[in-house]
Amino acid sequence: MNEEVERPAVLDKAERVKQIIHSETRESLSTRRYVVLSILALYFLIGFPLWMKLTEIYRAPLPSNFINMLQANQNIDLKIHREVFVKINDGLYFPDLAESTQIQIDHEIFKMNQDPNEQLIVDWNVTLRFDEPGPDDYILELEIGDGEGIAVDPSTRLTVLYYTLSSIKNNDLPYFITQTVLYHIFNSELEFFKIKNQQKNNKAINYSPKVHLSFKLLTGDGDLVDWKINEALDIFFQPIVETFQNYVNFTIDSEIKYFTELNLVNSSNAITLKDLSTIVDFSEWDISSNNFNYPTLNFVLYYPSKSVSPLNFEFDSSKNAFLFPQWGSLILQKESLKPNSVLNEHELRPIFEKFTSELITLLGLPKHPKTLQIRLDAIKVYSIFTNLIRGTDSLSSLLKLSKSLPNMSIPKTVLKNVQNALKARENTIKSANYDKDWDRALIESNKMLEYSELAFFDREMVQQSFFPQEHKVAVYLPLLGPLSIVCFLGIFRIISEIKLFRYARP
Amino acid sequence: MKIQLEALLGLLALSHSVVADGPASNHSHSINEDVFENATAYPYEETLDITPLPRNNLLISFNFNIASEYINVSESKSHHQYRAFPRSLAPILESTDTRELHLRFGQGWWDSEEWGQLPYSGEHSGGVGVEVWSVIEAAGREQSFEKWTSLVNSLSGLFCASLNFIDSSKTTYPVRSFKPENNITLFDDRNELHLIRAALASEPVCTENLTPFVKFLPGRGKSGLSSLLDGHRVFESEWHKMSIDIETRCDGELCRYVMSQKIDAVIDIPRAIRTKKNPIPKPVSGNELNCDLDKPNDAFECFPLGDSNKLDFTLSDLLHRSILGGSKFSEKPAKVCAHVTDNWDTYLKVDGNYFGTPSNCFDVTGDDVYDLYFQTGDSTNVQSIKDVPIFVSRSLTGYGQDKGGSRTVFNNPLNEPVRLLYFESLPWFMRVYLHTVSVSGGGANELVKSVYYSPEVDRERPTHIEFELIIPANSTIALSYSFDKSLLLYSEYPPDANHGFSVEPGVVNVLEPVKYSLRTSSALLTLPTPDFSMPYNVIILSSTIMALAFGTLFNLLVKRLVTEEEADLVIEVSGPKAAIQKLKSKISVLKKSSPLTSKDSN
Repeated sequence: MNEEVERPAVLDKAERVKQIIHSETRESLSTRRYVVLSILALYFLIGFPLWMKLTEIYRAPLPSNFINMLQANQNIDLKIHREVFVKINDGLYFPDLAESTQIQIDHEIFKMNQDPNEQLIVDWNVTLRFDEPGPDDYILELEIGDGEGIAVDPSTRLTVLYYTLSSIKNNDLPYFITQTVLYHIFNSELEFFKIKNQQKNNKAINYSPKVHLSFKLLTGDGDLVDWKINEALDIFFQPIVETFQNYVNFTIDSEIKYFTELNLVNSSNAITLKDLSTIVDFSEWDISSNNFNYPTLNFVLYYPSKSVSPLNFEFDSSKNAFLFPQWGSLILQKESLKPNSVLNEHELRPIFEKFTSELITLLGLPKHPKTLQIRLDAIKVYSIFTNLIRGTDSLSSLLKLSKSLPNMSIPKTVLKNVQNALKARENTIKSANYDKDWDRALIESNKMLEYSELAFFDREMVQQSFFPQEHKVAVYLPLLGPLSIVCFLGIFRIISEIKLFRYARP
Repeated sequence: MKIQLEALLGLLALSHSVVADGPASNHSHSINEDVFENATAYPYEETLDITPLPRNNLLISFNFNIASEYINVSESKSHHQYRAFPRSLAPILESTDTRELHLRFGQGWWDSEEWGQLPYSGEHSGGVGVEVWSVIEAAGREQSFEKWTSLVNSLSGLFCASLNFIDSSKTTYPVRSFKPENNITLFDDRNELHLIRAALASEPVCTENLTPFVKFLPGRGKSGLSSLLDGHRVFESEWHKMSIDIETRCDGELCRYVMSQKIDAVIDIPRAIRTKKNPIPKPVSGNELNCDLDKPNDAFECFPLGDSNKLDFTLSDLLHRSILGGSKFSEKPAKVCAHVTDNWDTYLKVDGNYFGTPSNCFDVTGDDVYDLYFQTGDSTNVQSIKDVPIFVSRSLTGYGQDKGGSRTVFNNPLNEPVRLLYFESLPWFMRVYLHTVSVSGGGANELVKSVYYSPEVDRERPTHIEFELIIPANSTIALSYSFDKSLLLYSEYPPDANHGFSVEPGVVNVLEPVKYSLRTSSALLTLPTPDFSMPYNVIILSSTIMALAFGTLFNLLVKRLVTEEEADLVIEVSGPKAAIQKLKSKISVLKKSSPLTSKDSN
């Protein structure tokens, strides 16, 4: 009974509610919808980008395309074109010698590039010139001799090629010249640039225009010793320092250290090659790292203490000199020194001869030819090339780093250093390709390397003092959270209203 | 002439040490010039002075002097030869054109009233923390600062100290204090000399600073007196100071570095012996307790007496190490001197044998292991202490976080006036008001003879004050001034900002009647520190307010406006109450229908 009375009342109310809902005008409804839509648009189109922009970390725009191109085609723009001035001493005149030799040389290099083993990684060539040479140019003198042969001047860039009249007759002269130029004068240089020789020479230090040499006399105990190092250096080392002048500047110092003990196993005197790395303990010897900002090579002459002398070498005792890649050289003596002994120049001679040859290895100089100048030229040119590669490597690593850490800031100084590095690279190419000024190119390529490393090891970037993205969101969550909830609830309401109206209004 | 004089001085110093009349007299700077003629001996000497102090304390003073090879300044240097002189140090000095370098490391407090004058008249004792000053040859002030920065950065790595934190805001150019004693020759006449100084008061000086110090010595801590130096023992002392002084001495064109390294420490003898016996502190058992028998004393009660005055110990008890042979690097043997009164017995112990000398000075040579033995029936009987010309104490005054004051009290115990230079370098966040400087006490006017004042520049320069004061005889004066504390930038606060900021010790150099130098204690300045979560709070709070405002605005714009009656009606029908009602009725319908269905199935 009761139910029957109540039900119409409820129905009535529902009717009225429907009425209320549908009493809204179409305009008001659409206005409300537009409001929601415009707020949403504001939120996504202006608010969100603005927030992103304002909380963004500064990232300088790096010339990534160019660097990637350089990394992909290494040294495509570098041309190493050497020049050899040919001088004919005997007054003979060969009208087509220049042309025919040049053709042979070009062909030989072309052949090299075809062979996958011999391929060169840089545009290398040599041009013959017949005009007057400068003082520092490569000169090839042609002279009639008893037989074919070459003579190399050990102190200048002069090579003499002896030929006979029969070789002119057989037209062998261009061939001889080609052979001399490619396989004698520039042999080491060409070897450097061959693809098969590109494994890194681990022994040699990376090229630096300044190298510090530190000579150390170490003894295991505290008895006074001394060495005539000043005299020895003047006699044995000064000539080398002078020849290297244009390539690398040496600063030299020497010291004497006492109580430098060997880390001998089981306190026996035996030293095997295997254990050498543990027996020689540089940290115990306290060979202080230098305060120079260029590489140091150490040359250590070590005398054991009386208590362990004589050392029992379990290897050929004449081979007591050890080369430590990129660190220096150590000569381990068997017997301890007598107290108060002074090593004089004569005693130091064999030691310094060893040190000298180790120095040349540590600098990465080629073994041939005899002329030191030509060997220096070869390493100089190769250094230009490797500097550019290393610089480009640094730059492309920088790009990779910046790509992998999108939250890292890239300050303007980095961009500036990158630009400077690229500018220095450009200058290197200019001096090498057009001016053939190898010294200048070397300086510029060093600059390129320096700048690219400065860019990579930028203090602000390396410090990694940047906020992760989550951090930013966490801080702004009290703003973003309520705003988003309000907005999304608004959309939700509008959508449900649409549904309601669709059902209600046929 | 000068060399002769020096040699003479050296002789004098030597004779003094034989007579043994005090710790301060035995520190000759001269290094035997003849040493250079011998191809293998070095211009090196080492001495150790041991002086008992009142209250069972013992002052040990190590002194190592060394000189480098001569370098011809005018010649272009082809290469540098270092023999005994540390190669790790010399290139730094050369590359920065440093003509003089003084480094001071120290911790602890010197009790002037009990112990008298500081060793070497305070000349080699810095303040708490690290202090460094140097004379640098440079064309101008800017160049000199560049070299200074490079110098302190290199030293920082060498000594494992945070010297690299020295920047322009900590660097001063002293005007009258710290003047070099000798004339310094310019290597290049176009340059000038710059005296630069900085100090880091909050630097904890510890064993890692001693290790490089010992490595500078030719014996490298493995022979000679330096073999006694054990970081743990030296730094466990009551007071310890480490100093390095390098000077460039020139003889015409030939120049060389002369370096003097010193370590002084005051050791509490009973404590050192105790730690040797029990490395882990344990309570003493009852029968070992030294009780006062005049007072109630039984198994449960004991009034302990002070430390006994009878002492019987060896040097190795205190330092846990013995002397491993003499110094082979110098012509002079290493010298150990005990400066004691007659009721002390001092012996050199070698191979179980004991040797004594009338002067209590011993030469240490050869390869034997040496130790020093001390014995006394009354340790209070020590050599008379030297009177201190001035007592200085500095304290910060005031309350609150915005301003404060500093008050330095000078007490002259002598019967004659004392003329002194007072040097202070204050951090830039202490804004000193020069007009508030006041001097009180002493009764006389014109106590301040001259003032040098260079005001701070925020983040660039510290306040630098040098006063020349005259303290009248037997009087106490107080020098005070007030300052404002400034706020730092958010990122400038250190991690432990509430701990306070160290203000480096003031430096007092007494000029008359005697030469004496001392440092006040360092001060701890509390600055107003912000709540470090503040920026986040600000962001969060303002974000919440914005969100609130936005929510209201949004609802106003988006929701439809109806009358209250209508709204009530809508809620009644479609609101939460109505929904619950609907649910209830549905359940009741289910309840009613379920028994019916069960009946049907039956």
